[in-house]
Amino acid sequence: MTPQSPSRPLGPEAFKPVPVNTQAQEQIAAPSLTFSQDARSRLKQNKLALVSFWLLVFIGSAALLSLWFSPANPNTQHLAYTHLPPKWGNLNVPFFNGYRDGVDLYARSGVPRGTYFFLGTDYLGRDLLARILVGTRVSLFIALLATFFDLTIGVFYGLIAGWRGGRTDTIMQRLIEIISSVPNLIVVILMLLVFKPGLTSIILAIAMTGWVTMARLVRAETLQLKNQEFILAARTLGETSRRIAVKHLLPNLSSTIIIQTMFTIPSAIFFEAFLSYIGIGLPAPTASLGTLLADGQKVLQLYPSELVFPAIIIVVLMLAFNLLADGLRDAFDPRSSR
Amino acid sequence: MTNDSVTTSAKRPVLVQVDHLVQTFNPGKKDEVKAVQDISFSIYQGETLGLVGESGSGKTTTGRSLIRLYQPTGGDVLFAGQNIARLRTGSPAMRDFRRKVQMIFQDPYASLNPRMKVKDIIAEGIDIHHLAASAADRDNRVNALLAQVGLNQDHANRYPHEFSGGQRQRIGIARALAVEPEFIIADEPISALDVSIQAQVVNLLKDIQAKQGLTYLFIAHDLAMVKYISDRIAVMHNGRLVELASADEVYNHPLHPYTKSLLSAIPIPDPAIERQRTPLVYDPREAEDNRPRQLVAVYPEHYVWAAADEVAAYQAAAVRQHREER
Ligand SMILES: Nc1ncnc2c1ncn2[C@@H]1O[C@H](COP(=O)(O)OP(=O)(O)O)[C@@H](O)[C@H]1O
Ligand SMILES: [Mg+2]
Repeated sequence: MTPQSPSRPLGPEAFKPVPVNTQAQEQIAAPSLTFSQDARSRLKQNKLALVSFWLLVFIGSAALLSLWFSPANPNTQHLAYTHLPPKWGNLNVPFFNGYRDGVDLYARSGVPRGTYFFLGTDYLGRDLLARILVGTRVSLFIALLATFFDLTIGVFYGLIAGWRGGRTDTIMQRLIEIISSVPNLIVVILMLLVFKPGLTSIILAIAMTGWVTMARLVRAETLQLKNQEFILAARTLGETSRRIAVKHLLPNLSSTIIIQTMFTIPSAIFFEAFLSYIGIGLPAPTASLGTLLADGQKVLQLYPSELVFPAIIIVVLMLAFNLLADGLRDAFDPRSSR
Repeated sequence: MTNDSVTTSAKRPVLVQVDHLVQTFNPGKKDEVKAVQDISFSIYQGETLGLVGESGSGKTTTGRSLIRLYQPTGGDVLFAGQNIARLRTGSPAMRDFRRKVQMIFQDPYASLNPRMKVKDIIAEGIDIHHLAASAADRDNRVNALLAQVGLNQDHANRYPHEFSGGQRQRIGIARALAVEPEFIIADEPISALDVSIQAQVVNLLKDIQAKQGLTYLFIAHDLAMVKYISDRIAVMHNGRLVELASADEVYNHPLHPYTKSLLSAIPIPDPAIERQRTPLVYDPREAEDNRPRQLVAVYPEHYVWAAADEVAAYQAAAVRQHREER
């Protein structure tokens, strides 16, 4: 607006009301963004979460592809090739050239030309890279299972308890308290009385206890949601409980569910690695990040790389999942950050 | 006179009849709340009954019991002669009731699912009751409803968070209208809105009523706004109805001390009178002497919650007020 020059006096026409266009008042100019589009654009601004996401995609696809394109059989032993250092072809990169203390160990062990172990070999001469890939696959499988139980038992349990409320809720809550008061380790040890050590008892332990936090969160949020007026509106329209759960509750719970899954996964991965590390997880010769760490730890002072490589993978997995979870939480609920 | 005369003063057809409705939360527990304590009234076909009272007096609870969001602890609610307190969930009669009675909610920010598009919010009832013959019919109905509440068609594909409070409230109204209801309970539909928008929404509700012959229960805590939209006004306090009469009668000849105190709290847009306005304070202990009280007609069509020996005084006061006016 240009200021009125004092020389030109305002006439009566300057005081006429400007016609109001009621249609224009109702206009919304901003582009229409769905909730998930909004969240995605916020997630993209979070560099740490984005890097974590792509790291996980990379590790995940490498582990998956190794099912078909494994560098070597992870369980084949070469007793002549034990504890070989890493060697990346003929690239001659320091530490990755097959030398240790100035000695070409590949030549000394008589490894044929053209055979390389990218991350070296373990005490039985098995290819460490292949074993790490198998271990990562086990970890991701555990992650998938934990997610599955979170999404089925956890979400369902929480929805029922929160929606029904009253006595049903009280009973279900007491049950959860009982379950979560028994340490996971004890559950697994009790399982060992019945099953052989292995995936079965780990899976059962996760199925029994892994979903508890999810159930609690879903219940708490359902309790809040069910008194929201849009749920009451659905009820006055005659919507059934099942349809309300699908149409109204789950979409509004989705961010909580996704975020909680992202926190469940690293703890499940760690749980499996921990059990395998102390020797009550996966039995030999199956590789798991936990058994690799245990094997590597025995020779830490002589061949540190055998501990360092699996350790890097598990650290990256845990960190990436946690950072991604943080990023997702900020993206879904901008108020929670800072 | 007895309570029954309140509920059956048949002059016009009665659409909703409330008989000795009691709603107690957590009965028998430590945190028991007697939100509604034995109220009876009826709502005539095509009228607007205003329900006023301070917050916490049980207005929302009454509305939600009428629409069977709560199962009444005691008493009956008859809608078009049918006892809805006894309807079974999922029965055909209940489905019919769920279509004919709708609610408009107080909080325009909580009453729309943030994850649904406006057109799906409005069409929710159409989908539930299978009112649309085809997807095109559904879209047409949604567009007609949007136009009816003064919104653009291109709003249909947007999400609630993009709208203002007044626009959201109109979306809520469209959702209620979608199932072609007969009776609408509006629970403080304007108290969360800007003053400038309030009149717009109230006038929209009046227009719709005139066009479709709807019956309203209009809940508010502000007597001035209720008088504007209501034919009759019921005043609620502490879970009880303390006064029920035509809007003008309640406004000009209040009898119960609580109604008087509510009226005395309304500012008057005339400095000379406003300066002399003295807010009356109502002491609820006046009525808590455990004497049996009920809603009694003390003047034609004017009911006051009174004990037997108070009736005469109220009748005299009513007569006196009306004579002074003449
Ligand atoms: N679901 C509920 N559980 C327990 N108490 C409730 C519940 N809903 C309302 N109340 C109580 O009932 C009383 C009446 O509340 P309400 O009907 O919301 O009043 P109003 O709408 O007039 O403000 C209040 O004391 C309130 O705390
Ligand atoms: Mg209320």
